[in-house]
Parts: sequence; structure tokens; C-alpha cells
Amino acid sequence: MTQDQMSGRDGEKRVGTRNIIEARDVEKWFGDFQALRGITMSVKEREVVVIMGPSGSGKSTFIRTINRLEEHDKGTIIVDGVELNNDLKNLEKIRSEVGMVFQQFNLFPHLTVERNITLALSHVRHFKKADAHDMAMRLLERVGIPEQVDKYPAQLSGGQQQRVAIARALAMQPKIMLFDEPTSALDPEMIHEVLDVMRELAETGMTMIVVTHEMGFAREAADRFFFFDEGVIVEEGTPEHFFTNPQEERTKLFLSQIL
Amino acid sequence: MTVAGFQIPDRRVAWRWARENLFDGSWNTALTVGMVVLIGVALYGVGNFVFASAEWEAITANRKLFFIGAYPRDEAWRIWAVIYVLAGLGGLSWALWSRISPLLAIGGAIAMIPVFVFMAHGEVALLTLGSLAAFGGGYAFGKTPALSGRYRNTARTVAVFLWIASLPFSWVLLDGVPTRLWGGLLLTMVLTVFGITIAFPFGVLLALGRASTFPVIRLFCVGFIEIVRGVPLITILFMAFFLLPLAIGPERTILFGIPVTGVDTATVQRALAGIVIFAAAYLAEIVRGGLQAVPRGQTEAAKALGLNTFHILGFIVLPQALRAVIPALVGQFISLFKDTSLVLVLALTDLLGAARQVSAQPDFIGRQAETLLFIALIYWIVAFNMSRASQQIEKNLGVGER
Amino acid sequence: MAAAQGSSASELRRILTLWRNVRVQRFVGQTVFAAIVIYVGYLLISNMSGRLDQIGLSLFPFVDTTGSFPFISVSGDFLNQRAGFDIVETSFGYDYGPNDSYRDAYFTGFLNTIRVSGMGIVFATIIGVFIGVSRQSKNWLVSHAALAYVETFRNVPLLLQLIFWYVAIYLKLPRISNPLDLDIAIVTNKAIALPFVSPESGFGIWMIVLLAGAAAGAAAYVVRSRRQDATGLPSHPGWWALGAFGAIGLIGFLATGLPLETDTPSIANRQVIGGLQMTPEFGALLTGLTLYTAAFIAENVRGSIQAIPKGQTEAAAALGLGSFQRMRYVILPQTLRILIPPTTNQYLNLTKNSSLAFVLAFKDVFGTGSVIITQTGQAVPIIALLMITYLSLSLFISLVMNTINSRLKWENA
Repeated sequence: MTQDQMSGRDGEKRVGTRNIIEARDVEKWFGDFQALRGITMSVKEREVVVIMGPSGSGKSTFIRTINRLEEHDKGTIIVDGVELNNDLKNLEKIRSEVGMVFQQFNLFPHLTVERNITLALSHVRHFKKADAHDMAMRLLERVGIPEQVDKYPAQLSGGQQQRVAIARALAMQPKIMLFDEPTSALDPEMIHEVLDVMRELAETGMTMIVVTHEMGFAREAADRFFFFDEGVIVEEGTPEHFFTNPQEERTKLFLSQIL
Repeated sequence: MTVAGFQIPDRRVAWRWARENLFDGSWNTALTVGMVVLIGVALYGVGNFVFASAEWEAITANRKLFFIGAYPRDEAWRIWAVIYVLAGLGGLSWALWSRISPLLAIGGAIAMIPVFVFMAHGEVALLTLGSLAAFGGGYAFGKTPALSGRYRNTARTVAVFLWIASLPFSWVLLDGVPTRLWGGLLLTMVLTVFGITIAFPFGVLLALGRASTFPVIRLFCVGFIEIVRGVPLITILFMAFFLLPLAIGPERTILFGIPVTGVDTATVQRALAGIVIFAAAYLAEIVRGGLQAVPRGQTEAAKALGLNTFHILGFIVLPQALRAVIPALVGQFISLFKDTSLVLVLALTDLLGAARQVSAQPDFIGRQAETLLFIALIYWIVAFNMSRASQQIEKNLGVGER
Repeated sequence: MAAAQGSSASELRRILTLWRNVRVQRFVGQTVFAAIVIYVGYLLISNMSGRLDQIGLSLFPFVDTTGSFPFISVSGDFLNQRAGFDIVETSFGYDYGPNDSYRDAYFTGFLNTIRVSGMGIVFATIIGVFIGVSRQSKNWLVSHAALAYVETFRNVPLLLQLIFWYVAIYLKLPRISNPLDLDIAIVTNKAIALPFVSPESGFGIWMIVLLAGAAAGAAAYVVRSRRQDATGLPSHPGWWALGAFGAIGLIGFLATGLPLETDTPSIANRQVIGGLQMTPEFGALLTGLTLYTAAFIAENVRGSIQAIPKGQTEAAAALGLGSFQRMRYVILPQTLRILIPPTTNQYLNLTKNSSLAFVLAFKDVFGTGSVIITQTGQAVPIIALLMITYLSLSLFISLVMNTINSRLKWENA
């Protein structure tokens, strides 16, 4: 069992040199509507990438293609050296290496918090029951809610649910974490507790792609920044560049509306 | 790209549609081929029966039996009078409430049946056209400037009262002929419409009683509702048939200690009583669902305004509750429409009874499949159209809430 | 104004305004309501009782008011009299003849009701789930054929369908003088017979072996589940249990000398003999009830599948669970939870609807009851008995389904 991501608070976080995700000219249609019009982007190991853009800009669709919840129609996506195609073997490998956190949490309402976390450990990773339990407890402590282990999702607040969802994704020891607007469905007072967990995760060196409108998080945690609109990348750069000196009109307009 | 139905614009789109929906992978293709064979066999069987081996004369020779049973031809004007009045009222209502088109679709579906069957039938076809004219007349009247403008609200109130009055009026008019002669679709409709409308107020009372804070009243209502819903309709019909004359029969009925002359109930009335008891319990559960759907805040706001219990119920809670359950009420109507066929066990000649009678006629003995399929089609048209209408209402209500 | 005067005046006012005190209103209101209900009930019953007396019947033949506590007469009641009518079709091997009592007749009908309802529930569930899943098919033809099925069967009265199956299908089968002999099955309008098995010597011993096999299966399940928990390796407890049971059953079957013999139906003296037989009455009833109820169950199945948010499948997929695991651990448990309550309602409806057997001359409990009414005139007690019977059946089904539903508690998934 690799412990480096679990315990690894090495303090120093360095962005690696290897591209762990490479997307080239990715296109995607929904019927006659083209959601992605040629996205090219690469993400390095231990890099935190934030994607912003107005709704319908294709940002969620794009990160969903990375673990193939959406199939792309054109272009190539390579995740950790494996190309995404119709080969089911690749698919399962990628999915267990890429964790995902959804806007609507998507916890399994019929399972306890513990079972939500251990389900995939038992059936995909074939953990012993005791080991799975230990892992669940460790992760719950890390997200700050070990006392909720026996509760059902409906008994938790939105912030707590999202933290369980993060723990559930981390349990698979993913190399990459995808966050699809993780705080958009939360009440304001709960947003920070989720962002704290994400910030801490970024510090430990997790590779993360985050779709969010949370400026504070983006400014602090992001290494790189992408602005999507109408299925294309309009602008990319460091957070610094974005908040002080955006070049494109569309970016300026969007930022002026959101800030 | 709209591929709803069968109008597929051009070849390329058609092919793409077929590929996505029928030949998407080898398993799907195999499934499609299998289904085509299956449907082909079924269509051949049905087509062969309908066009080759069936003798539809059993139907055409018995039009009257199917529609009004033994109701005398000379008295048929009573039925037409009722149809004309209802058609006129329908037209008027359509004009007054522009948003009730789904309800009219229900009426339209019912009205279709005589048109459908009596198409080639001289006098009746003429009278049917006349009822359409009455509908149009009512509509035109409702659209007159006075009614659609200044007096619109008054006209609506009057129309509601006319609808309520039309029920006893219809019964009295039809009752010029003894109920034992009523039959066919007429009897089916009478049992359904009168059954559900008489049961409705009882259903509302039972629902309110079940939600009441008075334990005695609640207990009574819960008991009534659960017992009736726990037993088959056929036992309720038997109960009404055997016990009603014993309880309130014509001679030696005791009322508050005084012997009085009771009521001599014919089978139709007893069946109707059974249906009312049955429907009231089911309606009560539907209304209860509606009551639970009204937010607590509504009652609280009304109390804060100083309204009393009756005003709160009548002006605030019930209107919202009933509006929310209109689709379920239509569903109950459909269900009751089908269930009235059970009066066959009391030897009444409703639509199903008429079909049984025809296949017992010497000329048409053994023509069971034809008669049963024919009435099945009638039941199906009415039930299917009403359920579609209720889905429409559900959608409209949803839009209204947003 | 003096204080004493004021207090006595307010006392008077209190008494005078008692009628608008909430508690008093509640008490008086409920008392009046109860009094009216009791009095109307009494009127109806005394009227009935009076009229029944005139024709020499008693309203409550079970109650012997001249006797002692608890006033229930067992010996004198009419249910012990000879029934005098035969019931051709009985269930579960129950023996009944015209010389038996009305009580036996009623019980025979009751067993018939249970048999047809039980089989109907099983078949309607299978067909309903199949059609409901087909409604969700990506194949246009399959989903629309399923839709056509649902709309056809649920918009036509059940009674009509039952009569159709009986007179237009089952009775139109070949006469017994000219039977359709399909080698494995015999089809006539008197009975449809399929080959079956009949027990031979050693059957009892084999049954005991089977019980032991079931125990071994359960043990295997426990052992394998523990192993899976302890090692994390997939240990397939279900398959092991099935395998243990099957193996022991098969060995036992061979060891006890093949205790089952095939029983092929044949025709002799214009009667179908042997095999698994079904009369046209029972066949029509079962077919009609099954196909009608299946249409409603299919709609429930469709609705409960649609009710699971798409995010559930996505979240499971994102964790790397395969499609079988997603179905087994995430979708199915949630679907069942939504599906069971409305399906329970359909089971209750099917059971109540089985009373329509009356029209097909299949003697279920209602049919038997109605014969007893016509023979004895005892409408009141028989109708009451029928209502109690159906209420108990409804209660029983609800209890069973509620138990299943609570067993399906979220954590057991």
C-alpha cells in the first residue's frame, strides 16, 4: 500500500516535470451541439489547475472526459501514459487512478459514511475488511469528521457530505483528483470547510483539476489557470496574470461579473 | 433533429436515427430483428382475425344494445337531451375558462365514441352532429362580449352551478325510463359519473376526518377507509345488493323510532350505492395526499390573519389540495370507469353485460371475440385519452407552480 | 367597582361562555358524532335483523344470546351443515367433496384464492420487471413494444380481459375428443397438462438430504463471507452456497435411488390423467390477473429506475466499479427501496381482483361464499366473513412486504 499521498505532508510542494494528463484537440458533441471545440492542455504531476468559465462553456464536460464519464468524439487524451479509448481495460485502470468530486456530492444514500468510503476498496481494490475500515477512519480524520462514520448521508450537512465525498475519492489513492464545482451546491458558511480540505490536499502534492468560481481558493492554491468559453480555452496563465492583467475581453468581462 | 413519430425528413437523418436506435451494436441489431419477426407475427394474427375471420355483423346489428341497452327507442330523446345540455355547457365552459383545454380533451374523447360507431347511421349521425352544434353554440354564447368581458366572473359562477345542477337534472330526465332498462355505455357512464361525483364530497369529508385532531372522528374515518380499501369491490357490491334492501327496504323501516316507508332500491341504485362507498374511500386517500402537500405555513398564515377553521379549509387549504390532486382524481375516474364493469355480477347490462348478451343471441352465438374486442376498444379509447389528458394537466400544473 | 362583584360576574361569564371553550367543544363534538354513528348503525342493524327474523334467519348466527359467555355457538351454526355442492378444483391436495360442510367448502375456496394469488404475484412480478426494464431499452422497437403492452393491458377492464381469455382463448382450445398432443404436453379445452414428476420411494429421505444441503449451503456462505472480509479476496459466497446445496442435492438424489419419476399426462375415458394439470378456468384467471398486474408493475419498475439520479451511476463509475458492481451495490438497492411500496399495492390489488374468479366459475373463496349465500340465504355473516378473509390476506401481504422492505435496510446493500 502506498502511503506517500496519505501521510505525505512533506511541506515542500514542487510541480513535477512529467505531464500526467495530456489532452490534444479534444472535441465533443451533444447531438448537434458542439460542447468542446478542440481543447489542448497538459497537466504536470503535483500541479493544481483551476478552470473557470461561464456556464455552458464546456469546463465540466472537459473534466468529465478525463475519466471518461463523457466520451470525447475527436482528439486524444492520455492520462498517466494510458490513452483513453474504447478499451475497457484502460477505462477501469484510469478510473481507479482518477478520483472525482461532484457538485451534487453523489454520495450513495443507502450506505453509511463508512460503506461509502470502503465500497470500492472492497470490491475494486480487494482490501481486507479491517484494513478498509482503518483507511476510512484515517481519511475521515483527515477531512475532520471521524465522528460521522456510522451516519447516513442524509444525516449530514452539505459541507460534511462533500468532505465525505472527498474522502471517498481519496480512498482509492488516486494520482489525480478532479473537482467539478465542489462548492456550488453548498451554503456559504459551509464552503470554507470544503475549501480547507482541498487546500490541504493541494499542499500535499496531489495533482488536481478544479472547476470552481472560488477566487480565493484559485488565487492561493492554483499553479495554473484556464478560462473556458464556448468550448475553447480563451486564456491560460498563472493566477497572478489572471487577477492582475487578463488579456482577453471575455475574461475581463467574466471576472468583473464574478468579483 | 426531431424524430418523434414517423415523419422523418430525409434519408440521411432516417438512417442515422435507425443506426442509433435500432442497430447500435450486434446485440441491439439481433434484438431488432427478433422484434420485427415477433411484431410481424402478432400483426398478421390480429389482421387476419379483424379482416378475414371475424364477423363484425354481431356489432353492427346490435348498435343500440351496446350504447343504451334496453332503453326504449321512443324515449331515446331523453338521452339526447342530456347530451345536448352537457355539450352546450361544455362549449360554454371552454369559452369561459380558456385554460381548461385538457379537461375538454376528456370530454372530446368521450364524445368521440358515438361518432366513431354511428358513423354510417342516418338519424343518429345527424343527432350527433347536432350535439357538436350545441357545443359550438355554447362556445359562441360564452364568447359574446358581455360574457367574456364584464360579466365573466358572474358567468363562471353560474356555469359552475349549472354543472352541479346538470347532474340531478340528467338523472331525473333519464329516470323517465325505469333504471332496469338502462344499459350499455349509457349505464357505464351513469355509474361512473354519478358514482364519482356523489362520492366526491364524502371523500373530502373522510379525508378531513382522517386529518382531524378529534380521535373519535379520526378513528371512524380511518376504519371506514381502510376496511373498504382492504376488500374487493365485488364484496362491496354484494353487500349493497343484499344488505341495502334489508337496511332501508320499502316496508317497516324504523327511522328514529318511527316506522316509515323505506326506499325500494332497484339493482342500479344499489350498485351505485356500492360504487359510491368504494369510490369515497379511494378519493379520501387521494385528497389526503393533497392535504399533506399543502405547506403548514399556509394554515399558519391564514390563522395569523384571524380566519376560522372553516374559512381556512374552504378558502386556503382545500383549493390548493384539490388542485394538486387533479391528475390523481382523473386517474381514479379512469379506474372507476373500468371497475364499473363489475356490475355484471349483479346481472346488470352495462357495456360488458351488453357484449355478453350479444354473444348469447342465437344469430351470433360463439362470436365472443368480436364483441369483447369491440367493447375493449371503447374502454381503451376513453381510458387512454383520459390518462393522456391527465398527464397534460400534470404538466400544466407543474408549470403553474414554477 | 367591588372586587367580589367582579369575580362572581366573571364566573357567570365563564359558565355562559363555556360553549366556546375549545375543550368543551371537542368533547361535545365528538360525543355527538359518536352518538349519531352508533344510533344510525343501530337503526340499520335493527332493520336488517327485523326483516331477517321475518324470513326465519338470524343476523348474527354465530352469536347465541341465550347461551352463556362468550355467546358464540359452535354446534348450532349453519357452517357445519352439509354443503352439498362440489368443487372440482382444489389446491395443495386438499380433499373436499359435496358431503363435507360449508366450512370445508369455504376453506377449499380460500386455498384456491391463495394458490391463484400466489402464482399470479410471482408471474406478474417476473413479467412486470421484464417489461419495465424493456421500457428503458435503447432499442426503439423494444421500448415501444413494451409501451404498447402497458397501455393496452392497463386501459381495458380486468373483468373484460378475464372473460376474453376464458371464452375466446381457453375454451376455443381443441375438444378432448380431438386433443392437441404435443408429445410433451396435452392441450384441450378441459385441461392443459404438462409432464411433471411424482415422488417415489426414498423421496422422504431425499427431502432430509436436501435440508442438510441447505444447511451446508448456509454454512458455506458464512465461511466464504468471513474469508472475504478477512483477506479482501473475492470469495463469491453466493456461488459457493449454491454449489454446496446443488452438489449435496445431486449426490443425495443418486444415493436414494432416483426418488422422482416423470409423470407424463395421457387421455383416458375422455379425461386428462396425470402430469401437471391446469383447467381453463384457472388458466384464464391466472393469465388475466398476471398480464393485467404486470402492466402496472412495469410502470412501477420504470418509475423507480428513473428515480435514481444519474450522478449515482457516475459516482460509482468514477470510483472504478464495473457495470455489474454498480448495478449490484449502488443502483439495485436504491431501486428496490422505491419499488417495493407501490408493488405491494399491486400485490394487494391482484389478491383482491382474484375474486373476479366468480365470473369464470372458478371456486375461489368469493365464489364459494356466494354459493353458500344462495343456498342458505345467510348473506350478512358470509359477506362479513369474506371481508374479514380479504382484510386478513391484505394484512398478511402488507406484513410480509414490510418485513422484506425493512430487511433491505440501507446498510445491508
